[in-house]
Amino acid sequence: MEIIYLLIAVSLALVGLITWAFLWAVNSGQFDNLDGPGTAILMDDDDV
Amino acid sequence: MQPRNDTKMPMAHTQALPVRLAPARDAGTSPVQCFHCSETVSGGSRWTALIDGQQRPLCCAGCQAAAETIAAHGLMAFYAQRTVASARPAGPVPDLSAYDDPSLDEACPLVDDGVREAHLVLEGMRCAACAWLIESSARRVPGVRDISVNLANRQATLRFDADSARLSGILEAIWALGYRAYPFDARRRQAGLQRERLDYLRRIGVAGLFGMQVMMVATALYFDPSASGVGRYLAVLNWLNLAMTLPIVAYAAVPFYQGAWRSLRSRHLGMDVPVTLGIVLAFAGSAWHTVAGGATYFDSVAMFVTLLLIARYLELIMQQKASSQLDHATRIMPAFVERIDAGDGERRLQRVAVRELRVGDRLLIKPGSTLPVDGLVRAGESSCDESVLTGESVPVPRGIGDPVLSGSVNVESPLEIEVTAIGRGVFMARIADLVARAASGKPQLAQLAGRIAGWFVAGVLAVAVFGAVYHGLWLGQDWLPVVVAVLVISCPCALALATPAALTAASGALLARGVAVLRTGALEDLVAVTDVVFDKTGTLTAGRLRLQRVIVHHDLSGDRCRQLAAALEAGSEHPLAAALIDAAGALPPLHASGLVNTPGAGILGTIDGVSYALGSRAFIAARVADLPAAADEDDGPEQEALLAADGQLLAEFKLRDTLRPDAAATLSALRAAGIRIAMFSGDRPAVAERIGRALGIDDVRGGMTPPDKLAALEAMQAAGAVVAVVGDGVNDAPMLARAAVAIAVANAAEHAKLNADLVLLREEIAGVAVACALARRTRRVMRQNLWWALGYNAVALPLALAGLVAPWLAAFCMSASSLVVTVNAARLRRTVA
Repeated sequence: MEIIYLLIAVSLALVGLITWAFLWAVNSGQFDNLDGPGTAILMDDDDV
Repeated sequence: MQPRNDTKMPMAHTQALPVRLAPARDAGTSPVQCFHCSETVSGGSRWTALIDGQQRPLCCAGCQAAAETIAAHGLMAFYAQRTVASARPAGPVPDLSAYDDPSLDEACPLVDDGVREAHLVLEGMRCAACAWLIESSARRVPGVRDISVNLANRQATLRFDADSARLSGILEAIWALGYRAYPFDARRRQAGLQRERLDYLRRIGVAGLFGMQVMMVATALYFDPSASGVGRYLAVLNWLNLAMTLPIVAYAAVPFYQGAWRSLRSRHLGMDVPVTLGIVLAFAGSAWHTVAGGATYFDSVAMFVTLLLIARYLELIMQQKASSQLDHATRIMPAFVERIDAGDGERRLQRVAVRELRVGDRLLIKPGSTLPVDGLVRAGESSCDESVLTGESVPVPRGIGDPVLSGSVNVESPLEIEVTAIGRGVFMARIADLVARAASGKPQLAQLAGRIAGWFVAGVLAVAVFGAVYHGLWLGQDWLPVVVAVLVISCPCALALATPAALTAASGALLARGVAVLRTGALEDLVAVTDVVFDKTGTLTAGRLRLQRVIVHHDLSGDRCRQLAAALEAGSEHPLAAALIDAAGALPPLHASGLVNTPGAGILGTIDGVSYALGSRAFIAARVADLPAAADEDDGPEQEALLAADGQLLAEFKLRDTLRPDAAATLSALRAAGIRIAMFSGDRPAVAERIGRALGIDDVRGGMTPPDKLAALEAMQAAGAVVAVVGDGVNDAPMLARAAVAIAVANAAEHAKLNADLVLLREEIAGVAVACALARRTRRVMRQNLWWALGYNAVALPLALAGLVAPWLAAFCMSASSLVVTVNAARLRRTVA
């Protein structure tokens, strides 16, 4: 069961990494406009 | 010649037929849809545009201009991709050059080297294709760096080169597509709202991610640690949970501490107080047990904080959605007027800012513009629409020597006025002062949920203190686990979610029904309402004149008379003209030439070689010998227009401000709920009486000024009534500010909306009855939720105190009880009858 120490370390590292990624996403504006970009890609700009 | 009544509806037979069921036998009658806005166009439309190699029919010049602009820019994908028909453009693009004034630079700050940022409010946007269209065409304007359109709140953020691009040029590009765009001062609200939303999102993320880990570890601890072999690692796992709960308690839960601190400072027992106590004590107690040994509640803390943050976040989004509908109130209005400078014997027009005006200045007020100051007419004759100020639906004639008020709109022809009051002295500013005074005296009653919650919070705290005293002093045991148990098992989820979940669900349901809730507490106040006071014009009535009937005095059809009247009024902006043009509906348009308009009286013009006169009885009397006097009808129409040619009276048009179609149903629904109804109007008492009779309202008061209305409202409140006010104009604003619940209708003046608790977003007043009914259901659900939380506590608390509830069972019960509360609240989202 000593494996638990490794697993604890791994889970802590994972949660830290995911939290960092989430905060980065919020801070870099990924959540600023939740429905605009999703529909913008459907519009065809090619013939402009 | 016998007068005969002609009340046939003009469009009844052509209106609702689908295109394919009506083969185009005759181009003059088949219904065609406007290519741009999809409204029905009468056949043989005057407007078409060459799009994709085909002549497309269009309903008006506005749609034609928009469609041609879109085609010319090669943005045809818009028509292929849009999911909703476009809004009908308001008219020609106005002069927007005032937005280039340097005084606006502050609101459009420099964000980069030579790049300015502006925030725009967009009107007329309906689907994602609209957002794409606006972005694509704005990007083509030279100097535009970036534009991002947010469909959800109908706003855009724009960045442009301060040197090479003008704001007005970019706005014009958007207006040309048929949308209306205004810059607004984002510093006040937008940035703050966005920051608050993202802040909650970060906290939810941290609480959720760490909470998941904590729950995972806690699950292992729920089972008998000694039997499962986890026992050896118990201390390690507890320390791990302590470390992972720390970010939740120290960062994610901070808003609750702030809320508790705020409510304590204002000597008020808010929900945040037991929430904070629960979090802090549960965490501190668990930390102590981690060191000294014993049960830990880290998972409860994590789950509690996460659930509560999500509830708050949803409530915040709901409020932002509702209030973003009202951002028009913050749009920047550059106030410029044309001043007449009479120097050196010659008159020159100069464009000056309103704040530079002095009493005694001469101004030229063009038709269609709003007066920025109070004044006296010195030259010209016109009529002014004062509906915003007085509620009077018909423009009043204004000639030399007459006073004109700020906020009224010059309707017909240019006026030269002398300024008599500026700044705080103008009529609008005096109303604003009245509003401020009335708002400060607003009765702080009927805060039902606040009272219940405060009382409940006090109860929970009392039980916790009792538990501490009983166990600590009486039995001489460790009191901390008992207090933590009381706070964690009783207070958390169910109680904390009971009211916000119900209010959020109710706000959401109301928004779907076209009612925006701006102050959440208004729903609770609405339950206690005993009286509803309605304004008349624009609230119970549509605020628009409509043709009631045509009395034909000549050998002409009613349709022909309508056509003639519409042709004569084609260029006029008077509401009466709009009503006559509407009345002609789908009839083929005629063309009138040589139009001569006499403001406030009538209009002359030639159609097919015959010269016609259309106007008031006095105007026609000068052209028709032996004109009969107006028939004395006891419910006389508010307005009439007479049509004459060659000295003969052809027809009389009777027009009236009509009731909203849903007014009667709304009032009877309110009456059925036991609510008394009154109507206060600024209009003539006779007109108010007639409308009141038509709707069966007993308490009708006409001819009231804004202070009269406020005084009458205060008298009602003094007699013990809890009054909700439904209004639309500046003249209602003081009343709205004083009412227990203030409701503004869709087309209300901004002033009225700013003072409103609820805003009806649709052109109907049924929302008032819907909101009342839903408020009562919300209270019922809130009470059920609170009783459930109480009942759950009454069972769970003694069991927990007696040591009969295992930790995992307590956690399960806690989650289940909060689930029951949330699901119960979600019932409110179902459509209201």
